[in-house]
Amino acid sequence: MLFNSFEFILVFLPLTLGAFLLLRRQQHRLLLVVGASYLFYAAEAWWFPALMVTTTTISFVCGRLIECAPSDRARRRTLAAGIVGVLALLGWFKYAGWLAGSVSSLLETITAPGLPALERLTSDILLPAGISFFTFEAISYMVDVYRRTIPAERNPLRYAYFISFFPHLIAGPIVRYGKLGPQLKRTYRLDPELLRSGLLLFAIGLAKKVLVADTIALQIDPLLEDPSGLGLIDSWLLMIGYALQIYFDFSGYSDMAVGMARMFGVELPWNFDRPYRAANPSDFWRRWHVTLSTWLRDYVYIPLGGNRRGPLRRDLNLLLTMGIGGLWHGAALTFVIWGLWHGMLLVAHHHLKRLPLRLGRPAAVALTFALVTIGWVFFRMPTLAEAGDVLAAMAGLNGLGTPLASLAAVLVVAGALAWGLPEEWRWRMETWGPRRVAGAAAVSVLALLSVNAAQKFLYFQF
Amino acid sequence: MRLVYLFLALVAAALVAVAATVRLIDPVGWYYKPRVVEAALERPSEQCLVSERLIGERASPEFKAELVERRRARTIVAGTSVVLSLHAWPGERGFTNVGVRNTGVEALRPMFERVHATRREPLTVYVGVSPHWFNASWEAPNRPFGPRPLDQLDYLLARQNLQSSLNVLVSTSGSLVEGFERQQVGGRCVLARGPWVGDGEAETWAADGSSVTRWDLVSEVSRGPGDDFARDLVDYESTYYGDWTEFDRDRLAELERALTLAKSYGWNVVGFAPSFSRRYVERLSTAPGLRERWREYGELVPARFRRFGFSFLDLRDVREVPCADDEFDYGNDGWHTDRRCAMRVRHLLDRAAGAPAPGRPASTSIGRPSRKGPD
Repeated sequence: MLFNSFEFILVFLPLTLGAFLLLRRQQHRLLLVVGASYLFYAAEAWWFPALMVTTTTISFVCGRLIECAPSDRARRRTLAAGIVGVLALLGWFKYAGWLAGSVSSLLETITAPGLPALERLTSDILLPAGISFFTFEAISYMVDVYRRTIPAERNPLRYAYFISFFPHLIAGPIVRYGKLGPQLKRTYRLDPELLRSGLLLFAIGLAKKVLVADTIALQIDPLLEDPSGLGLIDSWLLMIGYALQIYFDFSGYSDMAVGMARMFGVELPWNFDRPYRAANPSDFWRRWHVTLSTWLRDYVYIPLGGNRRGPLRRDLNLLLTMGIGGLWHGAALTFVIWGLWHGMLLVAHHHLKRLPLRLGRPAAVALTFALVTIGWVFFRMPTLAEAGDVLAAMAGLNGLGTPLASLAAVLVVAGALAWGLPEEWRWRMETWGPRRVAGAAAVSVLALLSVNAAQKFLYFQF
Repeated sequence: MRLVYLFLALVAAALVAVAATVRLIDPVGWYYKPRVVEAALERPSEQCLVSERLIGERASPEFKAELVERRRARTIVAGTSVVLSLHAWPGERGFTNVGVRNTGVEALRPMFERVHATRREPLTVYVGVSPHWFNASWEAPNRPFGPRPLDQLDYLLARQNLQSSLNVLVSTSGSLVEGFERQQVGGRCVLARGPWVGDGEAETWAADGSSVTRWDLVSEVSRGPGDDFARDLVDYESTYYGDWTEFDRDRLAELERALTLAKSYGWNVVGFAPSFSRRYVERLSTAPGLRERWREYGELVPARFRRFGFSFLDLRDVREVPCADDEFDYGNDGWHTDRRCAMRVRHLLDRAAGAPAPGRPASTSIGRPSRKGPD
């Protein structure tokens, strides 16, 4: 069930919210939301909830055991067991097929017929939606309990809510228990302003997805099917198009998630803050998919030593962290390269910022955007060969190409929105008056009329 | 809360208005309109064709079921778009084509039940069984009779359908919101609304339920380059035959259930494999992965029909009919036999059913001028 479907918008969400508002006891509300979330997840595939139950159980039990463990060693061991447990599920469902295929191909090139039996075993594994997200949330919970940042949760229902809450289940934002848990302990009180801002944020997020991201996708997807004929101008236009598409797609999703959570009285963390206004790579990662970048910082980069062990180790840690971030997105070399590209940009930025070189802010923003856009080539193209074709075209090796006038027109509008307006969660919608609310309603209607042609959210695949 | 209610009320009001407009105008014929059938059949001397803009893909099962009753059908043909060109012999009143586009084997039982509810007497039933029905990776977009309410929302609340509805309003000056008009297209009477049939953009239904395509109707419409094989095959393999790793036994069982039903109704059933052009046959019977499925089809499907005492004609190779390689519709696509070739198929089916010979298969009044190939 997609957020951008009538099934969800006109049936699932109103029924769940309606029932939630009718209930009086907090425990009943939690039960309702957890039940609805499992139903929502089962709509993808009937057996997905079993996977979520497993991750929830492992991390909940480990949290309790870590807290009760008699020694630091026991705590460490329990944490390691918990992390291995939830990562094993992620590894099997997300990476086994890729690893088996890669090993088999390698063997095939060196010697013999590869490992067809292993390939067959892993080729039909279906990637459960959202598994990367709730696995990271479970890990963050166990590590936070281990670090004594938070106490272990004793109420399994509240913990199940944390993992399964449907607004953030499939594609984030990646939530920390320390932020969500206290909100669940408070008894819900209907807050009309929060409800209104949630409703409006959901509507604006939907519009970003179906009116902007999908419009761009319609133009660029057919042309990126065969990138071998692209030239300088069209390749840049297409990749700028993709940069804007993925931004409006994912930030639209995040707005919908944050908006929905508000309707249920929960404040989720924001994920984007006009990332293409960033003036350097570090700034970009403070604005793009913030809940992931902070997760990687807190649970990978810092445990690796962060910047505490000298510049060389810091650079290595940055590359490793971003490489892991790339691999988290998808089991493919292209994603790893995308992550490493950003790692290199961060390393380069750390070194260059010490030099007495200063660009004006517009030039710095433009340069950062160009570098990020080059990175998107690896993210978007399914194979390295195709990514190579696009990069060659962007370098001007295939001639000028053709200016795509209609795409350029769409990009001007999308670009004006991306650079000209503040991020939607900053709009203080709870203060809006009747005129703005009516305007949002008009935009919502336009978006709803495009729902039947809508495409999946790009981040649903991760 | 006042502003929350304002927001919800505005959105709801706008959506209701859009849905009502699309429902009223129904720009692609989603809803069945009995009045159209009345009008099409009211003059026996000149039965009009019906534009698919008035009765579209979704409404066609209801339309076909209605035709079965009105024509007092004795012979029907069921299947998907590849059987739609099978039509009545000149002067034959008891034939009805109940084929529905984009359906799979799951569509047979509901259609059989509906036909039997209307005509409780032994019928001769021809069933075109498409090979791709048994590809588990392919799912039929349509299920006849009663789309789910959510499908209706997708239709009623679609921007393009609102746009099409407004186009109808503009092109007919608002006079044909719920109605239709008799147009003359290619010398035939066509019930339509708007200019689309005349522009050669839409298909039509004949009074026997068969499809009359733009290529049959408007002589100026180009048949295409005559060799869309390469392009179509890409579509074909990525949709109908994509990822066909094993013959779907569940759907084979569904076919058996449909045949059991037909047997219980006392129907005389003849199954057949719709025809492909020579190049498709060569491709599908030799491509790695597909050739095994192609062979299994030839073994498993006819055996199911025979198990019930029914005949089956394997006409996958169009030369078996025989028809020429360019006797296909939709720009000569290689897998939708045209009306002329279809009647040679019909002749074989009649013979297999033991039906009285209707005379030589002939080109019909709306067929194209004679072209090369056996007659």
